[in-house]
Amino acid sequence: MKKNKIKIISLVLILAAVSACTPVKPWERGNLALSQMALDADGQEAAFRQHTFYSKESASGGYGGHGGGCGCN
Amino acid sequence: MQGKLHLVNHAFHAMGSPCHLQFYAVSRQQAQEAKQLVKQRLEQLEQRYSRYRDDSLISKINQASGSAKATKIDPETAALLAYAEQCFQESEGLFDVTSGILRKAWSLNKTVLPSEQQLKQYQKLIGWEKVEWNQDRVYLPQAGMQLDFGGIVKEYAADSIAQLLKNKGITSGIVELGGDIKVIGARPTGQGWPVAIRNPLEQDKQSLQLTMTQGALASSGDYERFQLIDGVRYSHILNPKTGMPTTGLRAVSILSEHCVVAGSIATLAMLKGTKGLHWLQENKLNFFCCQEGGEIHQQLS
Amino acid sequence: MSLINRLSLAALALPGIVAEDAYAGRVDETFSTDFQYAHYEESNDRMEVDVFNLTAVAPIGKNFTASLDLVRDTMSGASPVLNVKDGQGNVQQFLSSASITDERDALNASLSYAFDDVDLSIGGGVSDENDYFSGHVNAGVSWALNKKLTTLNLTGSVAFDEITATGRPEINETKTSQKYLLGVTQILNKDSLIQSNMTFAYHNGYLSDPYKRVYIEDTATQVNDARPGNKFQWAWLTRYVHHFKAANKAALHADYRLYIDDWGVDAHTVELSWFQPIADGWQIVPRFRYYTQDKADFYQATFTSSNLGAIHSSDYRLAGFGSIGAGIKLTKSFLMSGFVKEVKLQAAFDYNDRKASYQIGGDNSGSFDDYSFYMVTASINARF
Repeated sequence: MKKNKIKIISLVLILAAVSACTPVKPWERGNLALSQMALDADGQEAAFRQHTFYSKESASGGYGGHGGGCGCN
Repeated sequence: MQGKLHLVNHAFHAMGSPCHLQFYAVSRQQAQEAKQLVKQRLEQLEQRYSRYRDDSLISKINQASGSAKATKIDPETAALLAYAEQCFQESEGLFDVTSGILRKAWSLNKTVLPSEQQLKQYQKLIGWEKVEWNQDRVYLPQAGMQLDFGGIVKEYAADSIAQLLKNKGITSGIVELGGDIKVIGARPTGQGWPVAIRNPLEQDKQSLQLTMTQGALASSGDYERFQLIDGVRYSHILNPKTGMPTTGLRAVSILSEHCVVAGSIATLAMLKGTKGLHWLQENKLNFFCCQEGGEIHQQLS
Repeated sequence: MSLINRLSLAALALPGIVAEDAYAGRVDETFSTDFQYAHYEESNDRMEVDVFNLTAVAPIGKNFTASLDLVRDTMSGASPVLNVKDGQGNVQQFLSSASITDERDALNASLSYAFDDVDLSIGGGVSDENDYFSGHVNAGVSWALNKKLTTLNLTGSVAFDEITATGRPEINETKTSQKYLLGVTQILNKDSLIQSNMTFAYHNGYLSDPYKRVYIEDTATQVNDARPGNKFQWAWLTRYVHHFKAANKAALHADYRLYIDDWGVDAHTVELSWFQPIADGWQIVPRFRYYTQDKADFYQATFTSSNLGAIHSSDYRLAGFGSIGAGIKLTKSFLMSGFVKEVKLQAAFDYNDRKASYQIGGDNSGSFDDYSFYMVTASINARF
């Protein structure tokens, strides 16, 4: 079924990505700590964007967030 | 948490080398207390392990050699002996904290190579396996034997000071004792501290620049302390088995989590001489080195 | 055990040395407050929203962090009600009157506890407007493994909603939702990382829109929007970040999300942003977004008596369409030494164009419900 195929492909891709890792030495973490590398740099803006998009589109999810609802349409 | 976070830059002299301490403190008081703690700790270590002080613990141990009287030691000294033992095993006898007396053969003869006889005399007094020690005591069975923690203490001091400052609540800083570096923590922005490894061939040029957010960097080499005899450069690192200075590598810098480990590995690499580079590569260590002929190799993965 | 490990083990016996990774408790010691104003506006005098958002985060003790978030939305303008067919057989969208102003207030709070490599959090909140109330609780755990190169995330939340409708006193409904997230963040190398999250959501209760209707062509009558009493949603989001040292330490963020639900909607979302540091604390971030969805099984622009069925909707959000968006954000960060450690000012502008024809593989219903919107945000963030 479509759903199962998707799940299998996703698992394979994730495992492939993880196995492509090289160990990062403690003195090499500088770049990763830069603010532009952060996934969640601006929480308020992300929340506003996600809220806007899920109010105007069918898709939602993937980002986390607190999970409350609203009557936005 | 609250308060002025400001950068403290503290240059001083200790363990026979120029030292530099940089850290972020929240108040002048914290900065002062930290500097005081560092001073106390370094004095304590010098008091115990400096061979230049007649009243140090290490001198007392050395003076009691061959006297049939063991010297009482504290847990820290016992741990250092255990660490020295580990290094001895790992290096198959090359790293030997009793080999310090070989210095005498080389410093007496500044312009001429020491004779084989002279070397043999000193080599009789070398041998970690001869040292009798346990958690409470240490004894050097032959008169004239000497323990020398010179290759361990400065790097250990860097680790120790970094830990002391961490315990004091300092989360951002870097310790440098005569070229041996230990990071306390990344800068407040998350960025690393810029560190440079000097080029052994051209003193005023930098060979490698990196930024460190944690871990340690230690170096060993002949570019500062060496002897020129008949135009040949002899390093100050002496091989206990041959009595001769090491050849093959001119300088090694090692990156690792602890400074004491980085320092031991750097010294070990120098001791391995011409086999040093291969040994570093084989053991997948993170290093930067300069060979006798001037070729530079590095493996920083 | 490698050489380094053996020596390190011996080194750990030295009193001055403690293992690097050993710390218990929270890493971040700072208080922070953020305030954002956002404006959303649609084309053709449709909806307009103003949002005010205030967030405060405070560390408590050695391991706890508490956060509080307040939101006030003010909404005005028209929104689509249904689609009708004109004399020539063309579909036209019919909007509600534009006179109403609605206000929504929301409050969210959370508490997290950090120890060793694990972070636990719980939270809850409410959202209240004149015709909709929602209360929720959530819990989550985050576990750092592999020298903090890998982080596993697991969260769950439950929400309970109460729905009424102005002008429809018979509407007094409820809805329950559960959402679960399973994710992993992996540092790939010194310049890149990847995050992949899967979310599962289950909704039960009144899922229709009480303000929307559908048009029945042959009888020229209207009936209320009627959707299934439950919905299952699945989303898989993957986010990749890469550092470009040569471009003045710029970072590329690339996200792709696959979405499937049991109402027949499949959607794909792609977002790309480029974080470009410019001199002295300034950053400029251009971004691009593409979204495509296909229509729900029970969606039609208009219906006939024969295909109406018990479940039917003409909601433009369940139609087949695509949306293309682009925007730009500017950030300026001031690092200070004093009571306040850092102040950041941010401003952003985004434009989105939603068109039925932008759908990939669309058998879309036409351009009658196309519209565009823009968003402007401005915020100030302070860390103490």
